[in-house]
Amino acid sequence: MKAARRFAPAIETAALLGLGAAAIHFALLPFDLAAGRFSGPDLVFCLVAAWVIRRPAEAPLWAVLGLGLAADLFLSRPPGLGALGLLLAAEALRGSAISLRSGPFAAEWLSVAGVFVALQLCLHAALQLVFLDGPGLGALLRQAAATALAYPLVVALLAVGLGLRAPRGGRAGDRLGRIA
Amino acid sequence: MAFHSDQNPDYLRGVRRVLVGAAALALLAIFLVWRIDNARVEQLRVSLIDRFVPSFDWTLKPVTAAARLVADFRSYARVYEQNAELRRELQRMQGWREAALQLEQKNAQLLALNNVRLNPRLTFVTGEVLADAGSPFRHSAMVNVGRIDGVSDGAAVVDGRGLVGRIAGVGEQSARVILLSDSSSRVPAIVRPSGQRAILAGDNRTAPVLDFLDQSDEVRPGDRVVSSGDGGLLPPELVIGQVVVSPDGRLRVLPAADFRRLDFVRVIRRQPPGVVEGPGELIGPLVTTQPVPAAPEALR
Repeated sequence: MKAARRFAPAIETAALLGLGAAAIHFALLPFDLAAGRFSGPDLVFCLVAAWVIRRPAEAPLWAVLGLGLAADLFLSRPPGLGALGLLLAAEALRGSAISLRSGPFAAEWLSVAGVFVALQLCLHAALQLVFLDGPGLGALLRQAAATALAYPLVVALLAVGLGLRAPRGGRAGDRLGRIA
Repeated sequence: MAFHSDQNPDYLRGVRRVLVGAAALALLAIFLVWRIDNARVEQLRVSLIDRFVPSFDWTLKPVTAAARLVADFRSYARVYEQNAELRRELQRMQGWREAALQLEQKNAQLLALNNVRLNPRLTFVTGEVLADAGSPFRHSAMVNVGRIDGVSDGAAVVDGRGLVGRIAGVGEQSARVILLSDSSSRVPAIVRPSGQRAILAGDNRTAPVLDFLDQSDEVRPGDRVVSSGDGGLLPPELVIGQVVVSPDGRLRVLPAADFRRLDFVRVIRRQPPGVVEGPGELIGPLVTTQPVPAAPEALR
């Protein structure tokens, strides 16, 4: 069974960057100015996680770095910190991409959510460490919940729209072919 | 792990790991530079946003218009709830009208009594703020009145509008005021009109937190907060400020006092209320050797 690939690798990288920019833009939209009640999902993280697990080669380091820094700068978060978290999370997911792809989707979902929660906890700890007033642990965890809920939607939309499917089943032959 | 990386050979994996480490260090450096030299990096951020966000204006506009449309539609659907809410508000307003009428009568009575001079329980001494220590951990100010002016520890300090803090530490000619925003400041307060009692706890932000509220759903943003006088340290009914809800959803009090222009403050000198200790003595025959002084004219 061959992995369904609709577009060329370069186009998929460009799609990651374009969708990431769109996600940042989406977060900038003035939907609800009365802040505090609802913190939206981190769509940039969802996109990067989906790409890193499904197309590790098409989510290069520089793209993750650029998206993270752009999100930090435009969404007025501490610059560098969010990008660092995104980079480390992406590398952690990339390290176990193969086992995540071959397992069921629920396992992938759980581990992505777990990585994001760990990311938020680290962010909170880092903010406390340098005496910065962050958004507070509750808001960070609410955002983690929203992100966990958004992840399957993002994955489904990507699979339908871009054909970004994890190659499941018949893994060995496919991988051997690509190494050679 | 035999196939840890997806398709790279071993030596490329090593290079990649170094690259990731270098990128992480660079990001950490950016963060630290931002933390140390905040102003310049923020300028860079502002200029970046200035450069890019307005050029996306044409995408923002239709989306915001659509969002507003949805919000309008939703408010149209809530017209029944809004009606009920307006009715409730009208009822409250009628209550206020009654209160205003009563106050008017009381005011007239007090005006009639205007010639009476009673012994004032509260006096104040005005001082100038000498310095204020605005570190993140200590919010206090020094004033140039002290023990020789009758300032005592724990006295309330107000500016023209509301409570500023209280005296903590009195010298001969100066005193230290610990402001409401200090993290060790605790002031017993009452929220009007619901009458809820609470403790106003400073936490190094402009607006202190309303703590130990009994029923926080009865408190709404905009409610007035005055000191309750519980504990006998501060006099009751000093205006403190208005209830606000902070972005993290906590109830806070926006002080009425203007902390940014704190030049002159009043320190309130107050006789502590008398304490009843033990039962009274037997009332014996009244022995008077001198005539009782006549009561003032207006009290009669």
